Amino acid sequence: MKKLFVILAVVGLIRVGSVLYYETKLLDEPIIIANEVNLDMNSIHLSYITNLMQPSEFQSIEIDGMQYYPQNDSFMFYDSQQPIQTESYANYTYYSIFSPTIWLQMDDTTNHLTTATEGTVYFKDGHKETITLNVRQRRELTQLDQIMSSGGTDGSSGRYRVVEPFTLNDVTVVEDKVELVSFQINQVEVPLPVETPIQLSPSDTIDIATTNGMARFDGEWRTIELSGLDKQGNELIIPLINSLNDRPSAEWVDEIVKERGNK
Amino acid sequence: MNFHMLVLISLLFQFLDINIGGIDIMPDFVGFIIVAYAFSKIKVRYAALGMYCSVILSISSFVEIFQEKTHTTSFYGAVDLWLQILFIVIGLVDILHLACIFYVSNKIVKIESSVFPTLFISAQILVQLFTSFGMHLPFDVLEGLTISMLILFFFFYMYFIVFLWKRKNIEKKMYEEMQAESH
Repeated sequence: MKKLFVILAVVGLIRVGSVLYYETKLLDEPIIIANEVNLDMNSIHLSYITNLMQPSEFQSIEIDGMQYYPQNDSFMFYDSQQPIQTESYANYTYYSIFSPTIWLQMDDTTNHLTTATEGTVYFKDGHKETITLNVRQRRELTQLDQIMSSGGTDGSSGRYRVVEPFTLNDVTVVEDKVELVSFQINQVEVPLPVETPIQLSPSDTIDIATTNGMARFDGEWRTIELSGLDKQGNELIIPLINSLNDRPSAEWVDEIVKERGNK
Repeated sequence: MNFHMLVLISLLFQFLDINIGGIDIMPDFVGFIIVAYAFSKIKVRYAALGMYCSVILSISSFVEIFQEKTHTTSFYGAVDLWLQILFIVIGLVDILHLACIFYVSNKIVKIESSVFPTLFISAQILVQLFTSFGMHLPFDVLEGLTISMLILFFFFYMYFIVFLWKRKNIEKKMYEEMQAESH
């Protein structure tokens, strides 16, 4: 028994030391890592890093004096009083990422959001933070028709048919979220950047393949922009979107916490 | 009722959670009170220590009933630092309590000590150490290890019940023999 007392004392010290070390890793406040007002999907996305143990819970976002609250998007819980967004998007050793989604119901509301630039995020623990909003505008694809699209952990690809003629001047990956692996016109690889403008006619096809990229929230997209001139000679930007499927790595989360945590 | 029988009954209170109208009709703290009573009837070394441990565990499990309702505990236990340290102490008291049960049991039945108590106590200490290191492991790794540990402990507790049952019978037989001798 005496030996046991000594062992228990040592184990107790190890456990207390471990808990104290854990405490040094905890965040005082959540770190917002991404937001998007998606007017194509009528949704507002938010993503934040918080403690794995007792995470901060998102309450609402205020945009131009209007409060937007998350709903439970599962039909099982439709119109019920079930807890909202209780499941994390990704879990790490000390932290979790939560990505609540607000589904917007009325076009009036979404129209009001097209000009929004700032929003204030409220958490249930009383913390609030003003953020610059990323508003994804509605853009119609009149020049291209999407024939095929696929996305997975090994990358994404898409095939498009030209519907209206246009001149292609450049191809860019927005925010470098992914790398362009292949860009083909009529199944012939086109070296990038485009050196001389390419004239595209109806029934021409464009194939794009990219690497996979990190999605900071469920439903984050990558955009490849084709820029050029339309048939009237006006400047034109055609956004080609596809889903991102990689969850943020533990190293990336640690780096963000190191840069922005507990200041 | 003999010592081992009372410990067995206390285990029922600890493992069975029968809720009627949101109230657990077999609360853990009653189980610990029963063991405290069992220890109080025995006059051997460490029985008093076992009784104090039972009382501490009884109080902590009584308080826990209210803590669960206020969600102040999480996967790792308490959230506030002082509560976490308190939970660590209670975890260690739990091991000490178990060790006292085995010690008193050995003194009552007066048979050669089984290897099971050492194994069981060692496993409990390893769990404490695992919790210390496990909380610094990636979440998915920790989840896998926790499930394996729970399965292992299910078998440990099953055998613990068998162990107590056997010793209950030995204690009963000894008592009957003593009664016969005195007559």
